[in-house]
Amino acid sequence: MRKLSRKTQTSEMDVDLNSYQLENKPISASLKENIAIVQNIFNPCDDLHLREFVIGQEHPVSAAIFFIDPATNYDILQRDVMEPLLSIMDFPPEGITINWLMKEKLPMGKVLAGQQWSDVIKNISSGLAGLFIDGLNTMVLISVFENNSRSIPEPSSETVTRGPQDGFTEDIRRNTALLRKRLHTPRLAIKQLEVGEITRTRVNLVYLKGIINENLVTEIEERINRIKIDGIVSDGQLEEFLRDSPWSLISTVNSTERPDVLAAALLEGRAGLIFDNTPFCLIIPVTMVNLLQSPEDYYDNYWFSSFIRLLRWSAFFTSLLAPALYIAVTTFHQELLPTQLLLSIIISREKVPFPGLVEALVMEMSFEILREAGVRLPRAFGQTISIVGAIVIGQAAVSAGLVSPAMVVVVSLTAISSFSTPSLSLANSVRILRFIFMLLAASLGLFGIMVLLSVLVFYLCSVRSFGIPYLSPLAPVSFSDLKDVFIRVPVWMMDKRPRLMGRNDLLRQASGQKPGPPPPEERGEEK
Amino acid sequence: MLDKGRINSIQLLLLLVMAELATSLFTVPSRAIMAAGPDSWISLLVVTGLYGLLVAWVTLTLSQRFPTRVFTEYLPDIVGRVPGKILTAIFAILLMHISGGILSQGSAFVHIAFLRETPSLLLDMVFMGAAFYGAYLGIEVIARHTVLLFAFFTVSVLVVVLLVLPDVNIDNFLPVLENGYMPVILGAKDASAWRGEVFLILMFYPYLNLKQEASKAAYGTIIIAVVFSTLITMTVIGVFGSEVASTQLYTVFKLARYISIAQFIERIDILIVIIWIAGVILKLAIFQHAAGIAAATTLGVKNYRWPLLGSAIISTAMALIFFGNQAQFDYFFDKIWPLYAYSIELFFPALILILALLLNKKGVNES
Repeated sequence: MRKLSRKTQTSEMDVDLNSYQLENKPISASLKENIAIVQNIFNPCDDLHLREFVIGQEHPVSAAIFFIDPATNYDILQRDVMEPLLSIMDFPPEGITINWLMKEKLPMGKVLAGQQWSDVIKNISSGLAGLFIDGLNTMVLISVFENNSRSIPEPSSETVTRGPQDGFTEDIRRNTALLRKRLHTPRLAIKQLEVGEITRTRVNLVYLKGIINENLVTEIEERINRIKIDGIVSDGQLEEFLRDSPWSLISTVNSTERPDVLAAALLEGRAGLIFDNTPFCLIIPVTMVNLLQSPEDYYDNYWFSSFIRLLRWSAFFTSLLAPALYIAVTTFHQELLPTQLLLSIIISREKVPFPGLVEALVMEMSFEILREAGVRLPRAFGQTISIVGAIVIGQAAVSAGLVSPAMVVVVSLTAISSFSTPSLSLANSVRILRFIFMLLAASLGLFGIMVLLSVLVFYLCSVRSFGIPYLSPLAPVSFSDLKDVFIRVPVWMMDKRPRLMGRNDLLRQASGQKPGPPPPEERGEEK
Repeated sequence: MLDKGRINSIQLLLLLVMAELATSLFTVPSRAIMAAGPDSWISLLVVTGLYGLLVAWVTLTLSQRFPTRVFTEYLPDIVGRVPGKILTAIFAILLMHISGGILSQGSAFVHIAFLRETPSLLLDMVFMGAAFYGAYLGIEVIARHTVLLFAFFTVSVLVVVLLVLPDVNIDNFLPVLENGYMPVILGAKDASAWRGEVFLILMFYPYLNLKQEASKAAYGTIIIAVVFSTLITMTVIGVFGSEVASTQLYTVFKLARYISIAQFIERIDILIVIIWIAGVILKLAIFQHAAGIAAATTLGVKNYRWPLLGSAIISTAMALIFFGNQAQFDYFFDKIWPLYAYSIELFFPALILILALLLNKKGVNES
C-alpha cells in the first residue's frame, strides 16, 4: 500500500515538482519527498526554516517541521511542540498516528491535519508550522503564530471625549474579539471570506442574525465573491467593488475604526466588513444621515447632542456653499447684503485686483494644498506648515493686497466647517462639490447655486446603498426615524430601529421606559 | 407602464401640491386681486377650490377605471386607435407647451429679480437641463425630491407670512362682498387654471402603491393648495391693500422684501427666489415626466428616456417661440390661458370619462 502510493506520487512529482499546480495532490508518505517538494515550492524563501529531528527512542521515526521564522513565536514552538515531541519515548501499539499525536502529544489550542498540498501551502504561507512525519501521508499544522500587530490603539481619525477609547488594529482576530466583547450573543454571525488570489486577504462579514435582512447578507457575499483580483491591501479597494453607483462622487459605504460604532450599526440591522491588515472596517448600507452622526451624539446628554447635530448640519451646508455664496453675492447680488455690511466688504475689496471667483479659487486652492501637505508632511516639519499656512491664508496675504479680509474669513469658516463633518469620505466629496458650486456661482450667481443644489438633491434621491435610499429617512420620509436626524431624542424614546434596515425586528426596547420617581406606594409613603 | 417606480399616497399628494403651487403661489395673488379686489381671497378659497375638486373628481374617476395604465395608454382603447393616437399626440404636445409656459415664467422672474443681462435662452436651458435630469431619474426620485422641497417650501412661506403678520391691516378686507358675487366668481378665472393642474393625476395614478388612498391624495391636494394660496393672498391684501397689490406682478416677492425686523432680518425675498427656482425646476420635472411618458406611449417605444429628451428640447423651443417676448407672454396668460387650461384639465378628461362610461370601457384584468 505504501509502496503503491509512493510510486504514484513519484510519477506525479516529476511533472509537478516545480509548479504551483499541486493544489489538489495528496501529500506523500515519504519525508524526503515532502521536504523536497516544500523546498521547491518555497524557493527562494529564506525565512522558511526547516528543522529535522527524530521521534521516539526505541523505534526512532524521523520527522521535520517547517515554519516561517519571523511569524513564529519561539517560546511556543519550543515549549509546546518540540519538547513534547522530543520527549516521546514509545509509541502506542498501533504505531505512530496523527490522531495520537494531535490528541495526546501537542498541547496546543489550534492543531489541524492536512492531506492536500493546497492546505499545506496555504497554511504555511500564512504562518502555521507544518510537521511532517516519515511514513505518514498526513501532516500536522500547528499554530505557533506570533502576533506582530500593535496593541489596541486609540482611534486616531474618530476621537471622542466621552466614550470608549479603543480602536481596531491591523489584526482581524483582535478586531473580531473587540466586537465580540461588545456583543455577547450567539446571534453575532461572523462569516469568513477571502479576497485576492495572491494576498488571500481575510474579510469577515459580521451581522446580527434575526435583525439583519438576510437578502442583504447574500447580496454582500455575492458581491464579494464576484471579485477576481490579485490582491487588496486595504478596505478602500474593496469598497470600490462594492458600491451601488460606481461612478458616484459620494461614497455609499461608511468606514470606521471604532468597534463601538460597528456594534451600534449591527444593532440597527446593518452589516459590517472587518478586514485583515487594516484598522478600518466598512459598514453597509449607509445613508447620508449616518455620515453626519458621530458616536459621541449618543454618549452625551441629548440636549447637547441635538444642539451639536443642528450645528453640524449647518456646518455641512456652510462647508458646501459658503465660498459660492460669497462669490455670488459679491459678483451679482450686492443688494442682498445690508448696506453697512456691503460697504465694508466693498472697502475691504478695494485693493484686491481680482474678481471674486479668482480670489476665492486662489484661497480655496491654497487651503487644499496646505491641508494635503499637512497630511503628507513628516511630523517633525509640522511647525513649518502652520507658520507658512498662517502667512498664506492670513494677514500677510491680506496686507499684500492679494485677497480681501472677508475672503479670509469665508475660507477659514469653510475650512473649520468641513472638519466638523464626522465622515471623512463625505467631507472629501464636499471638497470637490464646493469647487463646482463656486464655478456655477461665478457664472450664474445664486441661480446657478440653486440649480446645482436641485440637481444634487435629485441625484442624492436616486442613489441607493445596498437597496437603501441614500437620503432616507428624509426622502423617502419616514417620520418615526426623524428622531435621530437633526436632533437626537433621549434613548428611552428610541424604541424602534431604523425602519428600512431593521424591519425584521423593529422593536429594540420596551416602550414607556421614561425614568421617573417611583409611585408613592412603592416608596412606602403614606397617602 | 414605462416607469417602474412606485410612490405612496403622501408622495403623490405632495407631488401634485407642488405642481399646483410652485409657480402659482407667487403669481396668482395679484391676478386674483386685480379681478376681485379685497374679496379675492373668497374666490380663491371657494370658487377655485370647487373647480379644483371637480377636476380632481373627474380625472380620478377616469384614472380609477384604468388603474395600471397612464392616460395616454388607455385613451386609444376608448376612442379608437387612430383618433386615440392623434389625441395622445396632441395631449403630449400640450404638456410640452405648458412646460414652455412654466419655463418662460420661471426664467422671466429670475431675469427680473436676479440676472438682468443673462439671455433668457441660457436661463431656459439651465432650468430645463436640471428638470430633464430629474425627470430622467424617474418618478420615485421626483417624489422624494418633492417631499424635501415641500418641507422647505412650507417653512419659507410660513416664515414670510409670520414676519409680516404684525403689518396686516384688517380694514383692507372691508367691506366684504361690496360688489356682490360676480367679481368673486370672475376673480377665480385665472387662479382656477392653476388649481386644475391636479389633472396630472391622469399621468401619475398608476405609480401609486396603495390605490385605495388615491382619493385622499387627489382631494387633499386641492385642500392644501387652496389653504396655501388663500393664506398668502389674504396676507398680501392685509399688508398692501388690494389697490397696491393689484399693480404688482410679483406681489409675494415684494411682500418678502417689505420685511425688516431690527435692521437685521431683512431681504427675506431671497427665500422666495430660492423656493421659486427650486419649485420651477421641480414643476418642470413633473410636467416633463408626464410629457415624456405621453410622447413615449404615443410613439409606442419601450424606453421613455429618448422621448423625454425630445420633449425637453421641444419645450425649450416652445418657450422661445410662443413666450419669447413680454407681449406674447402677457397675451397668453391674460387672454388664452384660462380657457386653454379648462379645456385640457376639465373638458377633455370629462369628455373621455363620459365616453368611457357610455361605451363601458374599463381596464381589462386590472384590479
